Amino acid sequence: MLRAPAWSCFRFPPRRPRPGPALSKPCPAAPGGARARACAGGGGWGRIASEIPRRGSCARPRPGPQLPPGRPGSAMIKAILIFNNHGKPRLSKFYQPYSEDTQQQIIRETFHLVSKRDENVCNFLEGGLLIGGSDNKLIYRHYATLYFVFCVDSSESELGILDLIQVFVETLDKCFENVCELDLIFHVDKVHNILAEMVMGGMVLETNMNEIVTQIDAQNKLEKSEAGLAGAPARAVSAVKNMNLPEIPRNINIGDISIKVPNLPSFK
Amino acid sequence: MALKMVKGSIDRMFDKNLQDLVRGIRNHKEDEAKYISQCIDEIKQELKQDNIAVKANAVCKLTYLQMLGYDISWAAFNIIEVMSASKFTFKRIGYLAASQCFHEGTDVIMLTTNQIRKDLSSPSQYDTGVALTGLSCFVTPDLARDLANDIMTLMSHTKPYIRKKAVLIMYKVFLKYPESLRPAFPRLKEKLEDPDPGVQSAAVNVICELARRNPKNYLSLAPLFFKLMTSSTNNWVLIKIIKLFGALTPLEPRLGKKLIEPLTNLIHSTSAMSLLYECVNTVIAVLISLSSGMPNHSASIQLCVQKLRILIEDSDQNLKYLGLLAMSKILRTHPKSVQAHKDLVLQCLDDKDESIRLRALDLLYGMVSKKNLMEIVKKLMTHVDKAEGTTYRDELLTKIIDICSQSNYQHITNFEWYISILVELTRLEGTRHGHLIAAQMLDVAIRVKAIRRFAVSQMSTLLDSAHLVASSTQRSSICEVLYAAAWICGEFSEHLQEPQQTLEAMLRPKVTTLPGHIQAVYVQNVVKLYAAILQQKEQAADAQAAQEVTQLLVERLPQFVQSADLEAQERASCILQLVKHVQKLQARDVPVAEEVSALFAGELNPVAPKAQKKVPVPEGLDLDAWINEPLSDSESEDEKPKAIFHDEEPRHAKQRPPEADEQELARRREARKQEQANNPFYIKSSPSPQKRYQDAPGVDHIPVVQIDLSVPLKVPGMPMSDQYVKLEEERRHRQRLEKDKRKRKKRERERRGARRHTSLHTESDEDITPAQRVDIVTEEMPENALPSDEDDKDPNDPYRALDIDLDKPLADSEKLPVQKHRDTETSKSPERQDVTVVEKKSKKPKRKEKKQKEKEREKKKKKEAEKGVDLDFWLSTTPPAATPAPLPPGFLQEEPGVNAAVTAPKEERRGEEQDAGEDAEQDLEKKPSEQKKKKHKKDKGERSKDKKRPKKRAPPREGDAEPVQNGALREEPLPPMSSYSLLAENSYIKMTYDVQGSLQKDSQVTVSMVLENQSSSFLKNMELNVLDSLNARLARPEGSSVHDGVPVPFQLPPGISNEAQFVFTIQSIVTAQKLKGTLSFIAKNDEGSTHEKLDFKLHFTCTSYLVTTPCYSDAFAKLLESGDLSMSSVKVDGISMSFQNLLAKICFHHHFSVVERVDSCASMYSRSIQGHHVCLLVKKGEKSVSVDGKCSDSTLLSNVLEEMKETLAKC
Repeated sequence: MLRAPAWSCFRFPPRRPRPGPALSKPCPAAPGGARARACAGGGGWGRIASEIPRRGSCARPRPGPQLPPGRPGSAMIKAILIFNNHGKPRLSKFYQPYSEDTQQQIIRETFHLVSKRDENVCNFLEGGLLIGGSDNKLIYRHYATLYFVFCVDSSESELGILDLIQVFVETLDKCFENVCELDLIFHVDKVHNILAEMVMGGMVLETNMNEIVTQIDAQNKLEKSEAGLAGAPARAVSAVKNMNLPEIPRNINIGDISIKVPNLPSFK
Repeated sequence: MALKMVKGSIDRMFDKNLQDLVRGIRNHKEDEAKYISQCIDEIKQELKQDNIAVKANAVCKLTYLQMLGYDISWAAFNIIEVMSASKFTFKRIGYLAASQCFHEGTDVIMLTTNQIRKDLSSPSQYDTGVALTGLSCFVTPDLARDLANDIMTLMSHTKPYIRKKAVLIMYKVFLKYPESLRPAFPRLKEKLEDPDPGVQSAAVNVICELARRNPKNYLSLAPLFFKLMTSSTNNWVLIKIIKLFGALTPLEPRLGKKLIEPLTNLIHSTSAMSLLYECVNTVIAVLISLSSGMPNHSASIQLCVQKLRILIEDSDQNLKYLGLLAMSKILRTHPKSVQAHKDLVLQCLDDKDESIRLRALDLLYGMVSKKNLMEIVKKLMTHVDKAEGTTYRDELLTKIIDICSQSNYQHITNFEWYISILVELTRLEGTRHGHLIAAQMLDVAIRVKAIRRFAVSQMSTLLDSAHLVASSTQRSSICEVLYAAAWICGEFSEHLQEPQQTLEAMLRPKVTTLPGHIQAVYVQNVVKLYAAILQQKEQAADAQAAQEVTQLLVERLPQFVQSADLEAQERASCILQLVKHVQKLQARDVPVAEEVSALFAGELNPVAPKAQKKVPVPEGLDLDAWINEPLSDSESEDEKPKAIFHDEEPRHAKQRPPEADEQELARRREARKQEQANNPFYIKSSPSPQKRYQDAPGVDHIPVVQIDLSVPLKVPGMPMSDQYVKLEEERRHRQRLEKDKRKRKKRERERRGARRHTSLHTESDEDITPAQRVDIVTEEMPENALPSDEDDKDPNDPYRALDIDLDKPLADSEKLPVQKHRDTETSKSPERQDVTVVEKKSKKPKRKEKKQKEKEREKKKKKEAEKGVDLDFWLSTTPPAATPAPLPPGFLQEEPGVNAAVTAPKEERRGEEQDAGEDAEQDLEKKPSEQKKKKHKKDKGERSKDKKRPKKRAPPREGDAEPVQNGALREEPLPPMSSYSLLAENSYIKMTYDVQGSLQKDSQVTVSMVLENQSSSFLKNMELNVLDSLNARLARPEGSSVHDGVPVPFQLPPGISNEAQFVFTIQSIVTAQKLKGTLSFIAKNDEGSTHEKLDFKLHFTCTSYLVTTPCYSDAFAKLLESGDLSMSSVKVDGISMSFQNLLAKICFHHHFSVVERVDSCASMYSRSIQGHHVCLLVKKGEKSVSVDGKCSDSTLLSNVLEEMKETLAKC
């Protein structure tokens, strides 16, 4: 018996948690050990620093086809963004090609739009000018210190996406065991992998959390087996490094995530 | 070796990994950029190393930096290196980086083709999965073309995990490589019925998205989707399908009729808000497409509105928002039903949530009437004052204008009020919609003649205080209103009180700071004013004053001559010379006013925005014909890329040889369009918002009431619209009083004595007379304008390429390109190894090739026709309103509340039979029950004459499409068939039944039972009970014991039949079995009511566990070769039926589908609900038929063959 996907039951009012104590204060600075290492490694480099394109500096115009705003793109979910209360990006996934500069602009604009909204207003927003035109909507949820924003077009069901976000966060919670912002900061690659099991090329791939978690676990196992003997020392070092982390405040506080059993019969 | 690896990893364990990088960045808050540049240096070093693990680590860090906004495209090649690593861990890192930063312009992307192909065919499902995921983000036309075939094979992969990804990515492939759509579509369609819910959902997803863009090509899938909709419990799938139906209904209103009922049921039953909301949305779409012809659709509208009201009243803001959104869709077609909820909408207007306020604003559009317009706009104006964000304020502004101008200013009773509202709006700072206000001012002033005097006076004030408006020029476009003001003052200068003052205002030095196009209008209208003043002065014989005005112009105009704007400059210098000339004439005392005004004689009429487009092309003029001889083809090909404007050729231009003239022309047309679209000097038809200028017939006939304004209204800088509201109220009050008085008098005259008070006065819209004569001039159209109203689609639409007819059979040329080995031999020997599925499918047996080909072609034609017939047939199951069928007695007694389903079974048959000859129809009229039996057994002989089109009876509800398709081979007419067989019958009731299985549920079958009341009693409380066996049991509602019956969810009035469905759970399906059961009911007639019962024996044949499943010949061949199947055969003699009909019969009664047919030999396939494959080879001899079967279960096979023997024996 598979568990029915979470979106099949919409509990309202949605689980919109109050900012918990866990992440209401700024994230703790990285430990001293890491700092020492980073500084030590810094000496003697920077020779070709001038070549490196900077954020916000004039990047070369991309040869790729830039979709002008308003023209329909190919994806139904145009972008998935996660940023914190200060607008710092924690994950960005664009399903349409944009240059890095435009991507940053979109993140900034989206943050600007989303952050000025009260807690008790609806989760839908129109008027993102950069990404998409009138056909598009921003659908977002705010969990403690993080905003999860999906930019979608009209072919997606609004409430469906809202619950997809919830599934996403719950999946993160399962995979990271009490997910918090720090998990997303340090393991953005893992978040990407989880997301890839849910959304593919802008289309919803899987909405069943158990299925997603199963696949992620299987992949992790595969990864571990590949690391094998050679991976052991690396794991040890990484464990030592992480030991220095202070008591990380766990818990992103996604609130009550127990899902009510839906009325509809599930598969099979 | 291992030691080396350990050593290597010890070396690199002190390399920075992603976590270290993040930590480092967080520790260098002040000099983040510098720190990152150091890190990028490190990464560059790491990328130069040979160790793939080090590279992967570096790429992983780059991916993080990409998120922070750093361009990492320089590392594209390294990313590809990591992608091709053998370990999944690294591969995944590589593909992730690629998906984040590759796009169509990345040049190294073409290096990935083979790597991706290798990964796609990797034995590890996760390698394949990660490649698919990555590819979905950066697929290019080239990649799509090269990999389409590989991905298509993956769609039939054994692992659902791969299947669903492959299905989903096909959408991207279609977009980039539209030619792949047709070859891949059959398989995609097949996936709609995949046993895995994830794959099914993915297929629905893709097809819905395709259909959303080009709905008409997917209409033929409607029956399939309908089936899915009624059977699926997956909300995600349901939502998608329901959304899809919303897109399809506008094309096929009959579909809407069919949908309404199941959708309403869903609305009533579902607890998921998202589903409810989408259902409501689609019902709305259906109702919009129907708009007429449905007698009881007001009930559905009411239901929708009522459900939406619940949503809007919900405390959850999300539901409120969506409710308003859906409400606005209803508003477009059924404004009345929404208007009832005005209170709610107005309440939402005060909501603290901006999104909700915006939605409420949309609705307001339909809420206004003559009566409340002023009030509502007043409310909005206060919102305008309060609004802080400019976006919301701009939205308010446009809405105010929309509301007021809707349907030709229908609701405006007082245009002075409207002008003053517009003037008030000009005081908004920083709005983007100055041009909108300007357009309104112009429109009103031109089209409402009576208002011109007032408008001119307001505009002159505006010009006078232009500095207020123009001061905040920087970002806003509000100064656009000066454009309108100047034009109005100039054009209608005869209404100006003090033209001289206005003239001076327009000639102020400050004006030169305005944008160029406004200056130009200023210059032009200054002359108009000047002409008017001259005229005035000369009439007054005030030569002195006239000369002074001229002098003023001569002094001030030079400032415009120096304008930076070309237009302003040109006009100014022209006019300056003109005025100087006038000055000379004036000096000689020559009267000039007449001549100067002649410059602007005549009135300008408004022209409809689309007038130019509507000018008909004169006869004999072919716009596409060449004026000169066309250049030779090669030359034109060379010239095509006009590099200045675009260097992108229209797609496929080169691939298609210039064979047909038609094609060539179309191509050129396309190319020209493209060129025009890219040419900045070519005026494009802008997609202007279409205003509906309908004639408002009522307005013109309203008597004109002159009103005297008691308050001077020309106080600049004061909001005046409020005063108008008061004035208007007074005016209306006066009117009402007068009218009442008149009425009362009349009434008193009519009936003296009997007095009635009219204390309750309701004012309807019609009672309000407008203050001005609203003589709205309709816009001019060219003579004999074309009535066509179609708007050109955007030629750049990427989905246009996917507008492909999917019902046409595949041509030989339509294959997906297949990777071929570069063997020298391949050119000689026929390419065998790499033949694709598609190729095989379309490949024909070598012998009798020609003949076969012809046949095939015929078949295809037929199939095509069949498709159309299919859909029509499916859709016409509810009786078309236009052809009233003769109704059996008692049919009319049916109460209107009983919905379509009750009548369905009977009516469906009626629909099918419509062409079965009228005699049959009459028969049916007399004794419907007998007819059914007749049809069942002997029908061939007496019918075969009048059939022009093949037809047959299909089960009414589900699974009706497949058997019809299977019969596509028919050459001669086929007798009607029914899969319903008699279950039991007595004087009260007749039961017929059919058993259907579904691939989705491996141990369930659905028994559809048609119950027909044959008596004159009313049958109710029907209950069905079955004695369960070990193997088969009836699915009863939860909580009931095995001895309880299942109630039939309807009652039967006399003469009516209806269908009920019961689900049975079956353990083993290899043998047939019978279940004893009883139907109990209460028969009620005039004499009283009696308990009755009817025993029956339900026969589950093995056939009923088979489900028609299409199968490709290659898969079929593989299946037979696999050797897992046991074999058995039967032979039946004495068969006279044609092979054609025989096959159709097998298809229909035994749920098989024809895989391939060669002469009098055919292979057929079916699948049981538990996944047994059943393959048949049917051969026809002289007078006999032999059937060889192979099946994964021998018992099942022998049973099926036995059953088949029985069927064949009847032939």
